[in-house]
Amino acid sequence: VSLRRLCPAVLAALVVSSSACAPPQHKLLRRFTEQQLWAEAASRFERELGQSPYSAELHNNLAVCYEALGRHEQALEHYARALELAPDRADIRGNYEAARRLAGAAPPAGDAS
Amino acid sequence: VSPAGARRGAWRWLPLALLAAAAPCAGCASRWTASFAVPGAGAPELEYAAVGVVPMTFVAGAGADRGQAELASELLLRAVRRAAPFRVWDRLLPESAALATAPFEADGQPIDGLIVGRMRFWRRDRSGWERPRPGGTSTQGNPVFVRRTAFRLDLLVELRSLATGRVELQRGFSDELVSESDGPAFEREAFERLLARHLLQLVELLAPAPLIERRVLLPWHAAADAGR
Repeated sequence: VSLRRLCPAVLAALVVSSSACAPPQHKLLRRFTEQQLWAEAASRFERELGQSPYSAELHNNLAVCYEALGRHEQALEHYARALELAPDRADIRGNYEAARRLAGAAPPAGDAS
Repeated sequence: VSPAGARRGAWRWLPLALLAAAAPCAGCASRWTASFAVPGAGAPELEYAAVGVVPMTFVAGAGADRGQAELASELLLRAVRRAAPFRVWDRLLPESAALATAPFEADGQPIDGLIVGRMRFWRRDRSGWERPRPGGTSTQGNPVFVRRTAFRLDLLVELRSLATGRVELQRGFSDELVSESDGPAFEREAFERLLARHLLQLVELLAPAPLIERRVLLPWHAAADAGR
């Protein structure tokens, strides 16, 4: 097989693998947000965090669920942890600041920002 | 093509391949916005601190039997619980009884208002949209369980004061659902999603702006940090 023929195939494989990296998670997120299944979503993210405790995304998502369930203190803890893990994520920071505003919490000492 | 030519041709693809590998996953670049009514926040500012939920009236009339009406009512109740900032009395009231008895109390607690949902179903036939036939079978008279077809739902949601009997707020929605699966599970889920979305819109109309909060949910890669 010549390299000329092989390269388009490699390229296509890269594009496909890149665009389909986490479809089950996407489906879940869509379901949780559309149906407002926050308790179910929180259980799922808690479970996932047990296996991936360093995932900023999972800490962020769990915090969102806790907020929706009215558990503001726990939400703030997980937002803060998410920011520790990914201090440059503007989306997580936006969530955290909105949650702090809502909870009326003063900026914690050693603020992640 | 000489081997040297083939190698040169292959190298031409390299930048593209590198670009593709470095490009973010299309799905992961997506963001899911979570919208939710904040429990407790803002509720005191609302006129209604507690609402009862009455079963939906099936305009299809005889086409809807008691079990179907109960299912629709249960879906409405669950959607209200999720979306509304009110304290929702978790018992369904027959509309006529609720309206005839004011002021209404539930377990000794006064109820300020009622959320009344009315639905009208249409199903699509060869000749276009039509109302389900009263007394039809489960696939003719009840679009909730219509299989492999499209149906339209007109939903009218009212917030009604029990003190004055007035309808304080009314909002109509119309949506088209396409049933592609066989069986009621799909319809039930689609139905619930539809109601929750519309009720959230209703709550947004009622509530002061900060009450509805929006947050970003992020796709995650469970395996990515396994080695950290």
